[in-house]
Amino acid sequence: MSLHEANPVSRRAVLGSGAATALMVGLRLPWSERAAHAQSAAAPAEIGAWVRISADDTVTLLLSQVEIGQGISTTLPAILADELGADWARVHVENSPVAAPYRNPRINWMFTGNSESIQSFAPHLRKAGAAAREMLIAVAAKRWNVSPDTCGAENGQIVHGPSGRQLKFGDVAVDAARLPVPADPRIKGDTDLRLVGRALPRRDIPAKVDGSAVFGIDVKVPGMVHAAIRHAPAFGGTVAAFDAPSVTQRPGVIAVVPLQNAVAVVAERFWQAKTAADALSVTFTDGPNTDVSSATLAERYRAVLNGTEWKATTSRGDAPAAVAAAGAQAFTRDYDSPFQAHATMEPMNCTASVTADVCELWVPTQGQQLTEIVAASVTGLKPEQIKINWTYCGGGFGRRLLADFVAQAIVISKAVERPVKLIWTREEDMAHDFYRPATLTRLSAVPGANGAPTALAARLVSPTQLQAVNGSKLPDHVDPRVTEGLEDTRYDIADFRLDYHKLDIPIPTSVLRTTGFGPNIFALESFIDELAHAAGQDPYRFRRKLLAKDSRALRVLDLAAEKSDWDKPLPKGRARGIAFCDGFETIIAQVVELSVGADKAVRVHSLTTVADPGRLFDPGIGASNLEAGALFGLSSAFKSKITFEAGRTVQQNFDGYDLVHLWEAPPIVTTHFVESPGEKIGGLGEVGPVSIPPAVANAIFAATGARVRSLPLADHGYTLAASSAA
Amino acid sequence: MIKFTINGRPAEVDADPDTPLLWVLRDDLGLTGTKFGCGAALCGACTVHIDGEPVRACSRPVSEAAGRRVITIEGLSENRSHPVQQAWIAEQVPQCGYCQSGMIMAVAALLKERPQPSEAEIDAAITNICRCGTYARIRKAIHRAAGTSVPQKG
Amino acid sequence: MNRHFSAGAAAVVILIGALAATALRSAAQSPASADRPVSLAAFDTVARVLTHPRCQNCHTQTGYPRQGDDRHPHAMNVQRGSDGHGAAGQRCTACHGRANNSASGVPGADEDWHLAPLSMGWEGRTPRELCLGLKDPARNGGRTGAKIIEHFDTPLVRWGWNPGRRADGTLRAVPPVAYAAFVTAAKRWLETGAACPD
Repeated sequence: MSLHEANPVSRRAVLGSGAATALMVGLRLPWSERAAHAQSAAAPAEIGAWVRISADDTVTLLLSQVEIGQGISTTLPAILADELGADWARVHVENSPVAAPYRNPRINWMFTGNSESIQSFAPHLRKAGAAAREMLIAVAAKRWNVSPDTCGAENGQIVHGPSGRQLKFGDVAVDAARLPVPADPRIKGDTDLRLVGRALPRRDIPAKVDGSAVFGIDVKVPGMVHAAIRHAPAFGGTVAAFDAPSVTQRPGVIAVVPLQNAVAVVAERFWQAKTAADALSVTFTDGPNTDVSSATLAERYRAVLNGTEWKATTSRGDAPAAVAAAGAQAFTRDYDSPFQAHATMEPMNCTASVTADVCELWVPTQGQQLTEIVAASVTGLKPEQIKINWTYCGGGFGRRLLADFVAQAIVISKAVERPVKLIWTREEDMAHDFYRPATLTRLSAVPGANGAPTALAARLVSPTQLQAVNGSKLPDHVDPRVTEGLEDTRYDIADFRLDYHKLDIPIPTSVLRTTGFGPNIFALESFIDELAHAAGQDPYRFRRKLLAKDSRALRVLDLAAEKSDWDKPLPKGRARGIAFCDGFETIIAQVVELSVGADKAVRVHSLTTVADPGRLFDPGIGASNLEAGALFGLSSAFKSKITFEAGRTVQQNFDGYDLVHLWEAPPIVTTHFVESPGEKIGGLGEVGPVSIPPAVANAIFAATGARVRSLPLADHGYTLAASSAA
Repeated sequence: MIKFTINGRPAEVDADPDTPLLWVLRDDLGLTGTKFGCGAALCGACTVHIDGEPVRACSRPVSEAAGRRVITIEGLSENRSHPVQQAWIAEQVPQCGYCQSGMIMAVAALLKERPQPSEAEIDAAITNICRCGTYARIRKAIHRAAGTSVPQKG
Repeated sequence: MNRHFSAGAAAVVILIGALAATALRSAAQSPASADRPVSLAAFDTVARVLTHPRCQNCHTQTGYPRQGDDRHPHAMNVQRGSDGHGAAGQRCTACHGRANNSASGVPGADEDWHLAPLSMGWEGRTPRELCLGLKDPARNGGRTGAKIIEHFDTPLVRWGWNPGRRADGTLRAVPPVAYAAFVTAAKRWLETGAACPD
C-alpha cells in the first residue's frame, strides 16, 4: 500500500531537483468527509506537488487523471492555467506519480472514472493556480518594490499595472519556490477567466489523427517480448493440463506460462504468441458453474424478485403499505436490463518488466491505485519499487479500473525474466470482461388525483457493480453504484421506498459507463412514461408535475421540450420520446425523434440533449461527451446484450456484440447547456448515454403503442435502419 | 523475405507469409498507428491502403502485400496535412482516438474515389466502429473534408 | 486500381462480353424427349447446389450480399455497389483477400471477391425459374453452354466447396453435391438439351 508513503518534502526534493525546475506548489487541502474507502482513516491531509514552473517559463501540471477520451488532459490544465495567468501554449501535462497527493480527494483513491475528474479536481486546481500566482507576484512585487495588489499575472508574465513592467514566470519562479505556500489564495472572479468556458482545441487530438498517440498496446520497451493468453472458457474454470512441447518448437516461441485460470504463450512477436496459443494443447476444467446460463440466471432473478430478502436503501412514508392499500388501483410494471460488455476498442493489455527489485508497468489503466496494490500483492514488492506508467486508453468505460490483466502480465514477466507485453484478443476481452450486471426492477405506484404518483415502491435485483473496484468488502445488499438513480430520484413523490437485493452470481461484474443510472433510469423513465399515458397525459408535462418545485430540473426539461420542438406536430409515422435524469451531479433531459418501419426497422431522426452540469468548463469538449454519449446510449438501447451458456459467455466479437455504426447514427445530434452557478459541479463523461434507452422506448411506444420493458430492443425485433434510408 | 513499399519507402520483412499485415506493421515495422481492434475485419481499426484501396490489415496476410504500395496513417500525409486529418482536427472528432486511424484511412479512401459522397455513399463506405460514439462529428468532418454540407433534416 | 485487381476485373468483362453469338442453342429449343428425364435429373442435382447458401449469399436479388448458413444480410451495411464489387471506398476486397483467412475467418478466393449481377440473382427462385435463368443469355451474363461450365471453374465458384473456417474455427457448410459431381451433372444437363422442370 502506498498510503503512508506521501512525503511532500521528499517528493518536492525528488521532482524539484532538476536545474530547470524552480517552483513546485503543494497545497494543504481538506479531505472530503464523504471518503468511502476503508483506507481513508489513514489519509494524509495534504495534496502536494501538482504544479511545476520551470525557468524556461513552462508550466507543468502533474496530472493524476487519465485521458480515456473524455478530454481531461485539456480541461484540467486549462483550469489551472486560467487561475495562474499562464501562457496556455506553455502549459503542459505530465503523468503524476502514483502517490497520495494525487488521489481523488472525495474518496482518497487514485483513479479516473465515475465522471469525477472535474468535479473533484477543479476546485483544487484553481486553488493551486491561485497560490502559485500569488507566490510569483510576491517575488516580482518585491523586486519592483511595489505592492503585490498592483500586480497581476497574464499570459505567463507578471505585470505591474501602473508602470507596465513585466517579468516572465521563469524569471521569478526560483525565488517564488522559497516562499511559503499561501493557505487561502484569492480565487479569480469568473469574468477574469480566459480559458474556462471556452471551447478549447483538445491537446490530445493532433496525435490521434496521425497515429503518433501512444496507447498501452503501442508501448515498446527494450528487450520486450509478447504474450497471448487463453482463459478457461467457463467462469471458475482452471487449467487442468497443457502440453508445452506442442508449441515450443514453433518459430519465435519462448515459453508457455500457466496461470490459474489461463495459459499464456510468450514469443518474440505477438502473432507468433497468438497462433501458438491457438495451437497449444491445453485442457481446462469447467469449474462449478456450468449450470449458469442466461435462462437459469433469469429464473434466479425472478425468484428473488418475488422473495422476501430485501434491504431498504431509501424509505420515506410507507410506500409498500400505500401500494397494498391501493389494491387494483396500484400500477405495477417490471423492467429488465441485460448484462453488457465494455468492449473498449483497445483490448486489455499491459506491458510489465519485473525483476527481483523493481516492477515497472506500462498500462492503459483508469485505476492506478488498484494497479499498484495488485502489483505489490503479486510481486511482494513495496510501492516505491513499483513504477506505473499509464498511457492513453483506447476506451475505458470502467473496464480499465480493474487490474486482472496487469497481474497476468506481471506473472508472465517474472516467469520469463524479460519485459513482456500481454495483449488479449478481442475474443478473450469480450468473454472475460467484468460485465455491467443485468437488473430486474419492479416498480409499483399509486397514482394520485392528477395522475402523478403519490407513492412509489421499488424493488431492485442486481449483482454488485462496485465490489470489484472497492477497497473493502461491501455489506450485504448494499451497493451505492447499483442503487443510484432510483434511490435519489428528483421526482417529488411523497411516499417512496427502494428495496435492494444484491444477487450473488459467479460471473464477474463491475461498473460500466452510466453505472447504476443506466438500468435504473431505463426502468424509472419508462415507468413514468407509462403512468403518464395511463393518465392520458403528455409525458413531458406529466414529468413537469413531478418536478413542479424543482426550478433547476424544470429549466432542463423545458429547454429539452423547446429544442426538440416537442409540441410541433410530426409527419405521420414519426414520434418523440423524452427521458430525464439527475446523474453524476448533472441534470439531463433527452428527446429522441424516430419512426418505426413495418418490419420494426427504426430510423432515428434526431437526438436532443439538454444538460445542466452546474458549471460548464469547456462547451466544446462537454458537448462532444454528450453527443457521443447519446450514440453510445443507442447501442445500449438497441443492441448491447451479453448472454451466458454453460457458465461461459456466448458473444466473442463484434459480430455477436454489435455496436452502433455511422450509418445508424441519426443525422442530427444536438446538445444544449444550462448552467447553475453555485450548484455542485457535475460530470459529463458518463451521463450522455443514460436516458437514451428510455427515451427510445418511450418514442417507440408513442409511434406504435407497443411498450418495451426489457433491453435491448433487438430482443423485440427492432433494428436500427440506415439514417440515409429514404 | 517479403518486399513491399511502406509509406513510400521500401520494406523487407522476414515473417511467416501468413502473418496478418497488421502485426507486421506494428511489431516488425514499428508502425503502431494502425490498431488491433477485433482481428476479424469487423471494426476497421486496422484500415490501411494497399495500392490506394482501403484494406483491413488484420485479415490480410503479409504475403498479399508483396510488391504493393502500403500506406498507413503515419504515411497519409506530412504533418497531418491531409484534408481528412485537417477536418478531424477542425471538427475535434477524436475522443479516446483508438478507432480514428482506421476511420481516417477509410474516409481518405472514400473521398479519393467519391470526392463529394452522398449520405448513402458515406453510410456504405464507412463501416468502422467507434465505441465512444463520435459518429456525429465524423459525419461533419467527412462533409468538411469533402466541402459539402451536413444534412439539416433527420 | 492495382494490377492484380484489374486482371480479375478484366476476366469478368471478357466473360460478360462473350455474348449470344455462340449462345446456348436456344432456351426455346426442346430437348429430345428421350433425353428429357436425364436432363431434368441432372438439373435437379445442379439446383441443389444453386440453392445452397454458399451460392445464394452472393447470387442475391438484393442490394447487398448475405452471410452465413442462415443467409442473414451481410453485417456492416455491406452494399452491392454499382458493379457488384461493393461500395465506393469499401470494396468487397477491403476484407476479402485471395484466400480464406485463417487468422480472421474471413473467406477469400483467388479473384476479386464480388457478387453476381442482379440479373443472376437466385434467391427465392423456383427450380424452373433458376433453370430458365441459367440458360438465358440475358440473365446469365451472356454465357453459352461452354461458358457456363467455364464459370464453374472460376475461383469464386470453386470456393463454394472450400469455404474455410469461421473465426471460431468451425467449418462453413458446403453444397450437398460434390464439386465434380456438380460439374458432371451440369455438363450432362447441357448435353441432354438443358431441360427445365415445369
